[in-house]
Amino acid sequence: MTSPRLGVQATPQDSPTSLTPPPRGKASGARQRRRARVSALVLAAGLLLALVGPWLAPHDPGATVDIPYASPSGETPLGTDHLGADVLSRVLSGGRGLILSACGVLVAAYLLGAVAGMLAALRRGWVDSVLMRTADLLMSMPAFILLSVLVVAVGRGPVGVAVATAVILVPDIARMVRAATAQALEHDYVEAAQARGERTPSILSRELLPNLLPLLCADAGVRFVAAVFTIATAAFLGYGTQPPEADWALMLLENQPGLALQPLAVLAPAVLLLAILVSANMLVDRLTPGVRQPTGPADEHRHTPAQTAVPATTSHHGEVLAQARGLCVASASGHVLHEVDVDVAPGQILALVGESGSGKTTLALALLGGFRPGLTHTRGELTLSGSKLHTLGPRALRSLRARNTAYVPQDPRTALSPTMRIGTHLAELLRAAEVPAAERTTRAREALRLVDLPDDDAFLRRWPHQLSGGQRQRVALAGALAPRPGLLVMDEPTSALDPVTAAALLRDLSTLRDRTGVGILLVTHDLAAAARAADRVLLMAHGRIVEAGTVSDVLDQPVSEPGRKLAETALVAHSAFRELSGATEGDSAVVRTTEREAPETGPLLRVRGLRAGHSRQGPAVLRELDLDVPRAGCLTVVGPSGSGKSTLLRCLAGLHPEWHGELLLSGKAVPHAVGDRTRETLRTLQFVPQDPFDSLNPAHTVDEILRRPLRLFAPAGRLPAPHAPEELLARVDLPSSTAGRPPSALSGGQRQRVALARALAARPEVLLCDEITSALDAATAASMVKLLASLRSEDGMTLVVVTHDLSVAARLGGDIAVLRNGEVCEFGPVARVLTAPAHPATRGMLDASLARQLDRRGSPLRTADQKGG
Amino acid sequence: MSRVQDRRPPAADPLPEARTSRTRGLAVLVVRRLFASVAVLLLVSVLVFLATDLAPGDAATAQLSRQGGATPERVEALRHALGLDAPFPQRYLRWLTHALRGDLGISYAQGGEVSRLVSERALNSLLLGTVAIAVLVPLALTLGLWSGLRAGRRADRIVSASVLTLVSVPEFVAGTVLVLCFATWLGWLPAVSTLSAGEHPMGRPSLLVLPVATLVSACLAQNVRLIRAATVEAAHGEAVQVARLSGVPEWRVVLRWVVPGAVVPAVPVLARHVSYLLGGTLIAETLFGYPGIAAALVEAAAARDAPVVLAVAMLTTCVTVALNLVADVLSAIFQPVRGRGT
Repeated sequence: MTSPRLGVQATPQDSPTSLTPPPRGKASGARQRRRARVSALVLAAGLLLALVGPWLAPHDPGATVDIPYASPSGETPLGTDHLGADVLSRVLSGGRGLILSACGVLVAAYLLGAVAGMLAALRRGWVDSVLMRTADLLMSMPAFILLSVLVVAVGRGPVGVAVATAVILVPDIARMVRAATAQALEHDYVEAAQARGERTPSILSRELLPNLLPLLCADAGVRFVAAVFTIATAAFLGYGTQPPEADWALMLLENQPGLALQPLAVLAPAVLLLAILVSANMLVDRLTPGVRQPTGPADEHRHTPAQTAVPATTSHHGEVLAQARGLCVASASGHVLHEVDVDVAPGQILALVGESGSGKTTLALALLGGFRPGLTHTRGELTLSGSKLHTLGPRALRSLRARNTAYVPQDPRTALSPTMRIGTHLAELLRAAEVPAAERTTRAREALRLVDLPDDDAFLRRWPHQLSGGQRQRVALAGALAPRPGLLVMDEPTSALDPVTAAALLRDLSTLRDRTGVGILLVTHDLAAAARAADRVLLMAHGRIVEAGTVSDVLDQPVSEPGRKLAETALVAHSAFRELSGATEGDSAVVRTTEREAPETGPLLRVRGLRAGHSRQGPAVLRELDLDVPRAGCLTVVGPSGSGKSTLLRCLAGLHPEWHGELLLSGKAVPHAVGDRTRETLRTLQFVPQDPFDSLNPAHTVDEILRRPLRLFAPAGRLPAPHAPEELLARVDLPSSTAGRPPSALSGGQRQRVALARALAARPEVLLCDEITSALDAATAASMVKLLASLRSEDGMTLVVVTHDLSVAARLGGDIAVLRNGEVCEFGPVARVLTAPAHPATRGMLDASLARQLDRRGSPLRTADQKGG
Repeated sequence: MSRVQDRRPPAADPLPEARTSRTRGLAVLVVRRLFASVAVLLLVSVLVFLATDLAPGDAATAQLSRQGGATPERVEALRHALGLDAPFPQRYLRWLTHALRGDLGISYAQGGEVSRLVSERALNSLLLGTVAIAVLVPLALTLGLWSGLRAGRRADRIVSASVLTLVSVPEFVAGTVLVLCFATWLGWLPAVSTLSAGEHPMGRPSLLVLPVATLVSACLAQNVRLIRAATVEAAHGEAVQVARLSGVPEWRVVLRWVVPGAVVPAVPVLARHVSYLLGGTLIAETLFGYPGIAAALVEAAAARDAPVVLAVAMLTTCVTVALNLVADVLSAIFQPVRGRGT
C-alpha cells in the first residue's frame, strides 16, 4: 500500500485505512507519547534548520574557501568539500530545496490523488475502473525506472524530479483514499443520509470528510516522508539538483571519493537527512492507527501463588469435572471475578448467563486454566479433573487440557486457522491428545459424524473458507469432541447463528451429552439458548454469580436485582405471547388495535411483484413479493438471516440499486431509486438503520444530527423552530440535555432513540425500521418496541419493521410476513400467525423463541426433544 | 439419537463441484492475470516509447556523430533511410516487432548492440539480486517471527525500534555509512565493486558483500514489520487460543497455526522486493559502481540514450509484472479467500 516498489521503504505503515485505534497498555502509552513528543521536536528543528539555513550560512556555499577536503578549522567548522567549499555553509543551504519541493509535490499529488480516489469510490462503475487501471499501470513499473524514463523525457533538474515524484505518489494516494472512502461509505449514517435524499457533495462534506480527515493527515505524513525519500534519492542519482547547487543528497554523492580524508562532508548532510526522515516516521507511526500492539503475551496460567489454606494435594472428586472455589481474577482496573464458586459435573449442561462484561467468558477460560492478557488470578482455587491447577507446570497443564478438556470459541469465522485444511485441523488436535497417527483419521471421521458433517476425504481436504458459518462452527465442535474430552466449554455458540440454526445446534448439544457423557459449560448472553439446552443456569453480574438454579427457578424466584430485571424482561416478551393466545378469544388490547386496522380507504403502502437480486446476473434475493400496509398499520417482516428481509426494506427505502416491480404510496407510483424520488416522497418514507453504533455520525452532536433533516424537510419558506431538536428528543423520551452531546457519549438504546428522532424530524408517515432492536439488550429493546407502538397508536404512524425476534411482532400487533428464501411463506394478522402457524418455517421460528418456551414452562428442552424424536 | 442421524446435512452434495470450481477458479485467475499482464506490458511499452521519443537526438544523429560528419542533410537522408521520419505508430510497431525478435537496436552513446550490452549487465544484476534475496528472506522471516512471538517484551521493543529507524534510512545513506565503516575505517572490504573487462563477479565474492548488505538493509525493515504484525495478529487470534486451550504444544502452535498465518500476508510484499532486487538495484549499483543493468539505465538516462533506456525499462517491468503475477497466484493458492479480485 505504501511504496514497496521504491524497494527502499519510505513508510512505516502497511495499511493506514483501519480507523480503529490500536489498544495500547498504559505504561507503553506513556513511553509512546514521550517518543512522539521527542520526534515532533526533532522534526520541527530539522525542518526549521533546512528552511532558514541559507540565511545562517557563514560563507557563500559555492565559494572556494580552502583546499579540497580540508579538516575542520576555525574558519570552516566542518571542513571543506571536494571543491574546497565550506561544508557547514553547504549543509545549511542544502535542505531548503529538498523540503520545499517535497511539500510542493505532496500538495499536488494529494490534490490529484484524493480527488481521483474519492471519485472512484463514489462513482464506481467505469470511472472507478479507468482510474484504478491507470493507477495499476503506473504502479507496475518500479518507481526509479519510472523516474529514469521521465528524466529522459523531461530532462534533468529539480522540476523533472518533482513531476516524476508526484507521478509516483499519486497512484498510492488514490488507492488509499479510495479504500478509505469506500469503507466510510459503508457506514449506516451515510446510508441514512442517502435515504433522506442528500446529494453527493453534501454527503462528502458533511458525512465523510470530518471522519476521514485524521486518517488523511496521518497518510499525508507518510507521503511527505516518501516524497523527501524519492527526491533525495533522485538527487543522489544525479537526476535532480545539479552541481554547483548545494543539496544534501548530492553532497553524499560528490564527497564520496574523499570519505577517508573528510568524512564530515558526507556525514553532516546524512545526519540531517536522517534526523528529518526518522523523526517524521516515528511521529507518523505514533499518529497512524495501525498495527496492533498487544501489551503482553496471551493466555497461560500466570498465577500469583494462590493463598489457600488447602494443602496442594490432589483430592480426586469423581463427581466434578471442573471446580472453582472463591475464585478472584483482577485486571489493572479492578476485579473481573469476585469470590466465584462453580462446579461442573459430568454429563451436565451448565449455562453461564450474563450481560457482556459480567465476567462469564473470563470464568469459563479460568476453569481451563487460561487467562486473557492483562488478567491475573489473585485468589481462590481451580480444580480440573481432580488436579489442582496451581500445582501443575505448563507441560502437565497442557497434557491435561489435551486429554480432558475442549474449548469452542465464539466466532466460527476465526475459530479455525484459515491456512489449515479441516482434516489437518482435526489431526493436529488429536495429535496433541496423544492419539497415535494411525488412528487419527478414523477418529476425525467419527467426530465429524458426531456433529452431522460429511466424513469423506473430500470434506477432510476442504479449507475453512469453503464452509458456511454453521458448518465451521460444527467443525470447531468436532475438533473439540474428537479427543473425547470430559469437559466442553462453548463460548456464545449461538450468537453468530440465526435462531432456527441456533435451536438445532442446542438440540444436538443435549443429544451429544447423552451419547458421550461430556459435561458442557455453555457461555451465553441469551436466556433462550440457556433455557433450551441447560440443566442448570448461573446468572453472572459484575463478576459475581448472583443466581443459580434451573431456568424456571431463576425466572420465578429471582433473589437478586439483575435476576429480577432479567425475569421482568423475559416476562414482557412472554406476556405478549400470552395476550396473543388470549386474543384469539377476543379480549385483549392487541386485538382491539387489530380490529381498528380494518382498511377503509385502501392501503397506504402497496408493493406489487417486487423482485431483487444483488447483481443483474446473480440469483434473486426476493421474488415476486406482494405486500399491503394500511395507514397507521404495522407490517412486521420476520425470517432467518439470508431470507431477504433487509433487502426488502432497502428496496422500499430506495437504497437497493436494482429491483423490479411496483411501489405505490397512497395509490401513486414511487420511483425505485432514492435519487429519483421527490422531496415529498422522501419525507413520507423514513428509514431507521439497524446498528445504533454506526448510524450516527461521530463527528456531529445530536443537535446537528437532528437539525439537518429538520432543515431539509422544513415546509417551504419556513425555518425549523429553534427548539425543534429538543421537542423531537422529548418525543423519543430523551432529556433535552442530550442535544449537546456527541453520539459517543450515548448508550446503544439512547443512540437508537436519536436515530428514530432523526427519522421523525422529517414528519414521515411511514417508518422503515431495520432490525432496530437487535443490537440492544432485552430491557432496552422492550422499551424501544413500546415507543414504536405508541408512535403508531398515538400519532397514527405506519410501521414496516424488519426483525428476527418474533416477540417484537407479538408486541407491535398488525400483520406479519414470514420471509423464507426470498418468498413470503406465511402472511396474516400477528395474532393468527403466531398462535396457529400454518407454515413449518413459522413453527420453527416460534419453537426457537424464548417467550414461546416459557409458555410451555416446565422442561423446555425435553418437550422440544420428545416432539422431534 | 435418531434425530442426529437422520438429518443428513445439505453439505454433503456440493463437495465435488466445490473442488473443481476451486481449481477452475484458479485457472481462470491465472489466465485473466496473464492477459492483464500482457496488456500492462504493451501499454507501458507505448508510454516508455513515447517518453524516450521526446528526448532530443535519434539513431541517425548518433551514428553520424560517431562517424564524424553530421551535416543536417546527411542526418536527414539517413533518418529517411532508417525510417525514423515515419509516424509514431509505425516506428513503435517496428520497434516492437524487432524487440520481440530480440533485436533492441544500437546504443546511441556506445554504438554497441543493446541486446548484448543489456544481457551481460542483466546477468550481473541477477547475481547480485539473488544473493541479496538469499540473505533477505530467511533473515526477515526469522526476525519478524521472533519479535512477533515476543510482542511487547524487551527483545521485541528493541527489534521494533531498530526496524522503525531502519525503515527511514534511504538506501544511498545506508550504503554510504556501510562504506564509511567497513571500507574507509576498518578497511575490511572494497569501497567500490567495479569489474575489469571480462572479469566475473563470482571471481571476487568480497565485491558483493557491501552491495548485498546495502540492499538487505533497504528491504529488511519493511518485511520484518509486516511479518511481525502478521505474527502478532495470528498469535492472538481465536484459532490459536483454541489450539492452546486444546493442549497443543507451544512449538506446534507456532509451527502449524502462527507461521502460515504470518507468512501468507507477507508473500506479495516479499515478491515486490524480490522483483526490485532482480530488476536491477539502481542505488546500490550506482553507489558501488557495480556493472549491473540499473547502472546502465542511469548512464543511459544521463546520456539520453533512448534505445538502452527503453530496453532496460521494459526488461525491468517484465520482471516486476511476472513476479507480481507469481505472487498473486501464490497467495491465491495459499489463502484462496484473498487476492481473488482483479
